[in-house]
Amino acid sequence: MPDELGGAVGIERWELLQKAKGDMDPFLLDGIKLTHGTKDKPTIIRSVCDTRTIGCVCDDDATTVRYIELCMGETRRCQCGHFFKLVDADAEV
Amino acid sequence: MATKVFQSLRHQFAKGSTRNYAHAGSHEEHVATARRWKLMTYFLVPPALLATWYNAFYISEHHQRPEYIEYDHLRIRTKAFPWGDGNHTLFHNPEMNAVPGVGYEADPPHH
Amino acid sequence: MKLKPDTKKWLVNPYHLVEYSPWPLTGSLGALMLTSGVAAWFHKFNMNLFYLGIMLIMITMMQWWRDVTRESTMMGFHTSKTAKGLRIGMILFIISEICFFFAFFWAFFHSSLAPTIELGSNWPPTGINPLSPWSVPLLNTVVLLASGITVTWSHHSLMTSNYKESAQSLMMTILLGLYFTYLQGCEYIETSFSLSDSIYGTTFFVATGFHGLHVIIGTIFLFTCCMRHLKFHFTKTHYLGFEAAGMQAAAWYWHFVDVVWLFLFISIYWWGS
Repeated sequence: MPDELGGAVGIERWELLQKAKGDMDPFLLDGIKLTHGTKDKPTIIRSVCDTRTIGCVCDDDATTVRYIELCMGETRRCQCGHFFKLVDADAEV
Repeated sequence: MATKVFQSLRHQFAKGSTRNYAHAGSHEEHVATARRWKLMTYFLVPPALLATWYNAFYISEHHQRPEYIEYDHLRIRTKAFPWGDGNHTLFHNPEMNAVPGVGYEADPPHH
Repeated sequence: MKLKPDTKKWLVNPYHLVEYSPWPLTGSLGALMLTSGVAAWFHKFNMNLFYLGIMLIMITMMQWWRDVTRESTMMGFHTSKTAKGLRIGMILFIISEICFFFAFFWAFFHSSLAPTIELGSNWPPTGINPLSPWSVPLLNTVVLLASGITVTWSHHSLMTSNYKESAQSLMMTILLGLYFTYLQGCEYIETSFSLSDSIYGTTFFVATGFHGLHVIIGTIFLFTCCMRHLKFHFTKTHYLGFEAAGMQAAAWYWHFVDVVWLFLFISIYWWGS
């Protein structure tokens, strides 16, 4: 009889395996706490595609989310002053 | 205050996808819960079913049909039904349902 | 964190990007044929379009949900994110069903709280012999509550990977559902009033009739789950896939049907008689 992993295939199984390994966010969906984010040391965002749309909650009291589209390899600045850089999901940074 | 609420909401929303939010709980808890519902099925369901079944078919009175009176608000036929002769309802029972202009087609059921 | 080599980039996202499918087209064509066919039938034309429509709808449902089963169980497209979307979809669907039944209850209370002069200004209307709520309707209530208990047992058995008990209790639930439908069928034949006997008969048969239809749909849903369960499609990690959530959705739906019956029993059968 299949247990939870034995009954899973494909991307569902991959997600289960990643979580079993301790990676609780295999699809890179969790929010990131902004710490640095200067031009020289931007916040790194990863993607498997060439572009990725992110939402920046600019400060703790912000009631809206500001959406920015990032392009692979480029550094972009949000209106609030944070810098983000999109890198390949597999790249070592 | 508003900030705190917003932050906690945001936090929950972000975490929701990775959590087992529907049924968090240990294996033992689930075993105990399953056992509880199993016991209810074995000891609560059969007597309740038997009692209400006996009540329905042996104790309570059977349906009585009303006297046939040609009221305007009953047996309305503004247009023929698309089935049969167009004058009998879908679940027509000759013993219980009257036909307009005719009355009951059969004697009342005797029990 | 390092993801797998990007040779399969399409794989590394949690969203199920569906492929082209003919079923929305056949489904909407079937719905058009079914409604036109029913209208034609009501106007004393033949039932051919109705049969064609209902067949197309049936075929669409079977093929579409077969595809969903393949995508989830055989291809593993239902990640936690996708499963969450499906679960929200089911919740929204049940909310829309609540609105659907709300309308019938509204019609019932509108007609019964201030009965018109034509009805004799009383409820139940003059000349109507309502069903006794403490006879078969009470038995029906117990049958549905019992099926709620067995379906919960089935769910928790699945959570403990007790596949045998899960299947047994699911079958009990299906049998109880079938028994309910049988009892309601008998009641429909034995009632002394009909659909066209004043607003009482209309609201009674429309509300209980649609409820009965939902019981039948729920029974088919549970039966499908039972068949899939016997083929080991379901495991306890329902939160990481739609696997058990498929069964959970059926259980949700069943509880919904159960609750609607309780409202019907209390308001239409009990208070209304």
